[in-house]
Amino acid sequence: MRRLILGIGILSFFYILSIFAPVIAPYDYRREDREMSFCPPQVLRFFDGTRFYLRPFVYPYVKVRDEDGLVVYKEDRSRKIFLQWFYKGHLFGFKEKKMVYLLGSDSRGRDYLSRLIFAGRISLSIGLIGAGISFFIGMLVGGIAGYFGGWIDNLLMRISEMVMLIPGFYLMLALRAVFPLDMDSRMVYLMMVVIMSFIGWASLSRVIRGQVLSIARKVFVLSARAIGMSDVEIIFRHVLPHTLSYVLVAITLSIPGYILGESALSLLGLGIQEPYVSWGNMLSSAMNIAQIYLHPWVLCPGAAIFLVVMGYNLLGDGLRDVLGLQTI
Amino acid sequence: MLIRIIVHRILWAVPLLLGMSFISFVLIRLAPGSYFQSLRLNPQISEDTIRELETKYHLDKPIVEQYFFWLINLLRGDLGYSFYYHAPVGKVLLSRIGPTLLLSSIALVLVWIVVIPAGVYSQRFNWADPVLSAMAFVFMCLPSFLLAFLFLFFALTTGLLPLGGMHSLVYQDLPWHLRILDMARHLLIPSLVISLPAIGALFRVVRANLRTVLTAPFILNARAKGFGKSYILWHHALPNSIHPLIVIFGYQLSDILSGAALVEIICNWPGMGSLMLSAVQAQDLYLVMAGMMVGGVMLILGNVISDIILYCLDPRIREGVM
Repeated sequence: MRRLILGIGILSFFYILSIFAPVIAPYDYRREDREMSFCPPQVLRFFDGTRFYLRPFVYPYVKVRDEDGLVVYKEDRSRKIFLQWFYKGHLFGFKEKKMVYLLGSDSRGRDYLSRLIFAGRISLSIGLIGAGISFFIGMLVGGIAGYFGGWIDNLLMRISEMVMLIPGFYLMLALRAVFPLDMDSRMVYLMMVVIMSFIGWASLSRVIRGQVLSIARKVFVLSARAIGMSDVEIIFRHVLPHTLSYVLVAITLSIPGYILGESALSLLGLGIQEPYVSWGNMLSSAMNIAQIYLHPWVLCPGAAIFLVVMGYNLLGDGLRDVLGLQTI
Repeated sequence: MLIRIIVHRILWAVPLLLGMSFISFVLIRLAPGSYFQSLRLNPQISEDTIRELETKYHLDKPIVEQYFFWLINLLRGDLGYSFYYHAPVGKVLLSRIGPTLLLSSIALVLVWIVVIPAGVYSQRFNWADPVLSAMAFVFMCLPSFLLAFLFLFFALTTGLLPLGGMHSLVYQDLPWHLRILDMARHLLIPSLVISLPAIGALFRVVRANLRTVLTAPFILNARAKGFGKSYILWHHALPNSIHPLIVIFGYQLSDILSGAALVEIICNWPGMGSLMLSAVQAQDLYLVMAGMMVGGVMLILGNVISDIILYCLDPRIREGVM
């Protein structure tokens, strides 16, 4: 039960953030300020050394040259920028011409926090849509295979074995190979969803088939057949609904796979492209290890992915315990 | 008996591989774009040359026919020509399979060496169960690329480990024992990155299996006979819970291979993963297909290996009861 609540908590935090991204994010994710590239995070403070403020504030960063002649950012302690709640249609903002970077800025001086919040929209929805599609295919295939049995079952299960045999990441790369690399990001998004659910339905359909196999032998199915219901009706109205609790858990536990798949592809520069933003493509700047060393905040999207994956696993485990299903 | 199982498995694998390759081939060919389209954009290559190439590799024929040409060549041992590397695909692949197998097998060994004792100790000591379970959960949720970044970051700040690649520059001049050491240092980060998430996921399975077995009456009987907790775990519970684990071992190879591809790319490991990435970026059809096939074959090999292990460990299979 604790796990279930924790999982729901983590996930609703991220989903609310990304659904209300335009309001919650302090800036537009495309807004650039080339002057302020890789500005470090500006820490929200309540205490300035002498006085305690109820309203958090940050110190602005100014560029100075250090002893080696390199440009570095330094806090300007003489001036405070106070955080304004409900500022200009955003949840919060700052009365300041320049942007305030609570999580630092990227190479083009875009606000990392805003980008992180907007990126969640792509990364989080891809998991849901992908799992939704494979849910449909899996239900259909698993239901038919388990209900009819015989050669249909054999054929469908052999096909699903074939699909499971394909190394998923290789297939993703392979299919990506044939599309132009400069494809529109919305198309790429669709394509990634389709590819990943094409890989994902197989294992789901096997879970469902196993369930259907035992349900189809039950008396109520026989009765339904006796009163003359058609097979299709029986499968969809009587058999498949009984598998839902298993399917719910299996799907919840499969969603992280989609999120990780999107991140991995975008990380390699094969997925979502600029100017659109996803957690994976934000992380691609971390592919250059020196970046992590110089600007550790580029790892923030990684932390977000980690938390969301954990949220889904907690949710799945919790659901399984609550529904009393120990076998998957 | 063992030979019959293996032959059976391999015979099963043939239609599976055929089907898999057909699906992949059709999908790849149906999708818009090809290597030749990017060639066409190159003004230095004339339309005639491209058409000549297309005819040579039968790429102007219908897709199904193309597939059979590819298949027949495959059976002859010819995997096709890599347009990008300007070399036979077989040659290109051969140099990359070794490193990938090395990395994956070391990761696999690491996983099983850690997972089995961890599972047993979690049931042996009361305090260990929550600690190990929590650790396993965190490892399971860590994305491998994030783990890789963190390890590489660690390597960069401390300077203790190399930042990627398979050898140091001086590798060729080293005596053999230093060569092994050098390889081991390069292997450490990628193999840890691949194995840690797998350890997390597998630990949960091992633990769940052990717990189920521990409720069985024969465990109570063993305890009544006065065997120690440790002895019961290692000699009664573990052998009886090992069967599902070995089946998983066969399927896990797919995950390890897929996971290894990404880690290879991030850690600059010169294996199949990095090869696939460059093949993909160049839209190199035959190289991509060959990579897929190697992946499929490795999976089947994994299943065969797990069959053999099962045969050796499980008397029920050896005697033909199951």
